[in-house]
Amino acid sequence: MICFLRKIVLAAALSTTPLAALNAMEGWSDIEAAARGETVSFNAWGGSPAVNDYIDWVAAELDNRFGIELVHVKLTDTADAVSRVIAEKSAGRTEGGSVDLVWINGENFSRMKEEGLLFGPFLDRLPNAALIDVEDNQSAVVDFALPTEGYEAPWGLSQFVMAFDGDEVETPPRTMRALLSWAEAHPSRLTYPAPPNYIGTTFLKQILYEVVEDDAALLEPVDAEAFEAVTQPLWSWLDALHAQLWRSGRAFPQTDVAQHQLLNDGEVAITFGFNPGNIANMIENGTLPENVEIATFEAGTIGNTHFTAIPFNATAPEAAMVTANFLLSPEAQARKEDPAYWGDQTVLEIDGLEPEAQALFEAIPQHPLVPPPGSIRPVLPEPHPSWHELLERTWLERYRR
Amino acid sequence: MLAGPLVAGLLGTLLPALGYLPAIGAREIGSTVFREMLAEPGLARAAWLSATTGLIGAGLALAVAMAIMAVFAGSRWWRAIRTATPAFLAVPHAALAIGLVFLIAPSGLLVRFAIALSGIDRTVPPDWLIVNDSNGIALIAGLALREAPFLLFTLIAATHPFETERQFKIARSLGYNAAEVWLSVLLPQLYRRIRLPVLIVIAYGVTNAEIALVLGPTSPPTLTLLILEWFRDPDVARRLIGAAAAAMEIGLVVLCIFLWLVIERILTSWRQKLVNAGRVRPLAVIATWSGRSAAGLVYALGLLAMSVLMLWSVTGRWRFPDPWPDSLSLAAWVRSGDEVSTALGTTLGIGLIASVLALVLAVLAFENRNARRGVPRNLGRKTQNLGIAALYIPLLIPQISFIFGLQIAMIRSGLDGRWAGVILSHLVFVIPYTALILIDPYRKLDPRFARTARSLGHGPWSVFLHVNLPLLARPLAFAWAIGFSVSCAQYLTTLFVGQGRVMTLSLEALALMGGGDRRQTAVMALLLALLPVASFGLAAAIPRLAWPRLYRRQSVRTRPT
Amino acid sequence: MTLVLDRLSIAVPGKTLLADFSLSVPGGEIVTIMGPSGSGKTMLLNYLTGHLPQGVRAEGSVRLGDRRIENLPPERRGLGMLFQDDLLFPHMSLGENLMFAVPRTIKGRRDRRCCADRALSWAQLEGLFDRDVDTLSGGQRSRAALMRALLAEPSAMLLDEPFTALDSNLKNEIRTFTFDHLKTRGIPTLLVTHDPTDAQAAGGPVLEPWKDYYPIN
Repeated sequence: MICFLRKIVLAAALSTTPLAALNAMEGWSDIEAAARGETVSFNAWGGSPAVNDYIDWVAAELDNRFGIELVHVKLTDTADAVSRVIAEKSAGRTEGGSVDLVWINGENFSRMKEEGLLFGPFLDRLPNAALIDVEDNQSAVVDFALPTEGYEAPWGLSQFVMAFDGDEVETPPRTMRALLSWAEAHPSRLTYPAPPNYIGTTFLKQILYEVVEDDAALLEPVDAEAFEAVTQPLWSWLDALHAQLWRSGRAFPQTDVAQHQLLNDGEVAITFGFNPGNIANMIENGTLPENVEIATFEAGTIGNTHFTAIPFNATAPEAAMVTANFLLSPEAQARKEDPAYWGDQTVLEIDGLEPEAQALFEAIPQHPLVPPPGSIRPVLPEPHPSWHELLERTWLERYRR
Repeated sequence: MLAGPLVAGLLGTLLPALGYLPAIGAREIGSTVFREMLAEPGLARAAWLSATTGLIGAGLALAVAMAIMAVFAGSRWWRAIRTATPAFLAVPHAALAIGLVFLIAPSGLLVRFAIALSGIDRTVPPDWLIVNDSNGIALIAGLALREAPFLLFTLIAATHPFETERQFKIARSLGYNAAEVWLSVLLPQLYRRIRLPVLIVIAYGVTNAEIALVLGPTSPPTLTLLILEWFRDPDVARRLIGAAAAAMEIGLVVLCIFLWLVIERILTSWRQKLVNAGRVRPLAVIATWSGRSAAGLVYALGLLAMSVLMLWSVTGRWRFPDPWPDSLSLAAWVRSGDEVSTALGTTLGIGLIASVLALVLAVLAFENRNARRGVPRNLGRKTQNLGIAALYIPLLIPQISFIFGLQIAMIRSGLDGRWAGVILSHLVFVIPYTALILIDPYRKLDPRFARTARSLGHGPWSVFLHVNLPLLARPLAFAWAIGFSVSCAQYLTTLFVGQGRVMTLSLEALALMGGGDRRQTAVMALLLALLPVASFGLAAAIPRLAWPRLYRRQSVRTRPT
Repeated sequence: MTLVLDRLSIAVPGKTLLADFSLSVPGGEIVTIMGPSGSGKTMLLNYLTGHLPQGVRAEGSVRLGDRRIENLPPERRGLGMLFQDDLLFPHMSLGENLMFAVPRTIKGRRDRRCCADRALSWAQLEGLFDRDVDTLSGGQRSRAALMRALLAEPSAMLLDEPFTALDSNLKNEIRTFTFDHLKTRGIPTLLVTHDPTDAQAAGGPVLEPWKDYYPIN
């Protein structure tokens, strides 16, 4: 089933992203020349010291190689950057905007694209776009079921994983049925971030994939009439789970990091997050204890790609494109995948790279907790964004009153 | 000058609330948005939580501040309390709240100590809903803990030492003990002078995001957090709902203030009845006991919360239920040092300019008002009061809704991304606080000092420099320090108006605190407190160094024993 | 020099405090204005010194010698002022309080200090230059306040119930001290009070402009 869906999605994606290589390459040196001496204001979540350090490294490299000054505007929420672009549009500032490049995906992207707040399409002008693995990871060109159409450049791949206290949880519950019975046997040792937190909503979708009859429907726009009936198994499953949750389901962590903190404090034994490498990084730097292990769901895990995009009124779009291109270079991607630096999966197709570039990835020390890249399969695609909205709303209606 | 940003900010809230936000294609003015907002899940409960926690938190803070004053004014502890109180004001709300969580959560330091001391074998924290409880009790406690020192500070500032001492002696001679005198004679008078700060505290309690985010209920959270969520929703149409809720929140604040005025009236007449009936003693006994325990609790919790923050900032690894970190490390400090060094300079520069500018403007306004004092009670009062009330609007509504409009105005005027724009937007919040601190000292200042100096041949500037400035040095210095701290704490204003081009400490700090690494959070919370604490230290030292004749002595000599 | 008030009227909304009031105070004379509290005495002094609050309407001219002063800023009117409280500045020493009043035309620390020391000796306060003002006795403070006012070389003095706060022994002493100094220097003085003994001691004309409004007094 999932295989069939992938083909459809892939076909749609490829048709909208023509990698018109030759033409693009000609223009690229002009773009690099225009970018020299420019400043790129990169608006990206600044909550992780590891990510901030990585961006600092990128800034140094950009300065050396391309004469570009990269300024990391540290956000607490990507929506703040979106707000700023909206405010600039409201005030009639169509050029000279304050955001040159923004770290984005999913809903934020779909809104910016719908409101005409994005520059582009620009992806096919980036030389490194040719290296992207589209075949095995259609989420690189279909962001939450919305074709990116070249308005954003893939940056990294995230997969939904489970982190657990290895001393307390002997066999991790890798199906939803097992998770529920584990929770019943261990009351108040489990929780999840409250939707609309990203991880929380992804958890709902992960459950949905296992409990709905026909998961093909998840990739189509939601049928509001049928929604209640289709999602009924999800809600009854959650009703059963909530009674067993941490604080009996009367309080939820509001963010995924707050949830990981609960694991570190011993308040819960299982948490959810994105990316095994990222969890490994947190164990390395002491945010999570050393006895934490990682597991995935048997039926597959939801995967999504995060991107960089350029607002319509960016001051230095050329320099922003050079930056986005550098972020896609094998060197930058390999460093990013190394749990010592960040632990985020690459979006490049490693087999298709030059041998020297492949060597960079092979040189990454294998972390004992992290499965080899590409081994967590199948990757479930994100449902259509309309599901996202209704799921969140229904969850809030049921559990927030 | 302030009217511009203010009007822009309000319009930026109200127009979207009515459905007008052309940037996202919304142009139809009507009540649709309001109807949609009312259908949002959890809205009524969130509003109820905001109102109850704000009112109860502020009431508790006031009660604690008054009880501390009644019990300790003039005692041997008084000096220590007076010194410690401003230091509390310098600690950012978020830092205190986070420290409190590290302390009282089921996995916090207190439980760890209890386990270690009792020898219970337990590796799992108890499943108690202490923080984020659904009725907001932890939030109320956090609000009271943070605001009681603020109200105590304003109470102290409003005390007129000589007048107070005289009345104290008279009342004691009539056969009342110290606590009774405070309750029946002095505090009722003082309350009238600090009413405005109390109302500000109520408004802050109802609308605050920082403390509610850390300690407040989660399902649903308070109204401000819901608004924040809507304003940050990727679905930009939700901003309209957020704006409508922000408009509703203004109404909620007004309602709460009205309720408070009713409660205040009831309590006042009840207290006076007790006094008239000669039954103030039981109240005094309660006040004495609660004052003692509250003072202990407030200062101990505050101190412990800050200590546990410091401990976390140098922690390597720290697992439950260990009462002490498994390893210590300076890594978080070292890493932060690199990140914040330039931001420190920017914060200092912007803070200094904004706070001094606000102080100058406030002083000009008050000097001007003072020169025309003694107005018979009718003319010009009302318009003047309206003007003053407008000044406080930015403190009464959630920043995020207000800031969107402010940001658009700044972009239109080309001030965004520049220091000038950031400073101007900080002033919207700095000036009201500066003015708030100065109202009462200026009211208390005997205008005849200045008139005498004028009659001795000194012009207005010389009179200010040689007479009013030294006489008001202490409140002026604290007003400056408060203004400076408010500027340092500005997060959303700086982010939105500075467009990410003006990077201050709070931007760096809040971004990193969002990451949830406790050690990093602790370092950032402490760094955030650094400049304000230094400014309060300066504010305490400057008057004493510059005018030793006036400020080397302690003034309130109302010993309660 | 003579202080002349010509057809003064003062009104707050809904109430006339003073209508068509004229008065002339020659040098060395002390004219007493009597009236109960709340009658408008203070408002009259506020008008003369230039501190009239907002919302109070007043007209009429005030002359000091040949100068019209009612539109000058307070510090250039040449009117000295004494209040019920001595209002010595608490952040200055006694000597600094006096030096503060020495006219600008006298420059240099030493010369100004010299003026202050002379005033201290007139007030029998020799050697107390560095004292904190709140360590002084009530009599010392009152004498210092007068000296401070006189050091500024006023062309006329306004006294706003300056003796009310003093106890009766001290009152006589300070009253005599004050009136003697003012008369010796030939300064026209307007004394506002509700105490008949003040008026007696002043020895000049006594006016009661509010008699018609408050016939009981």
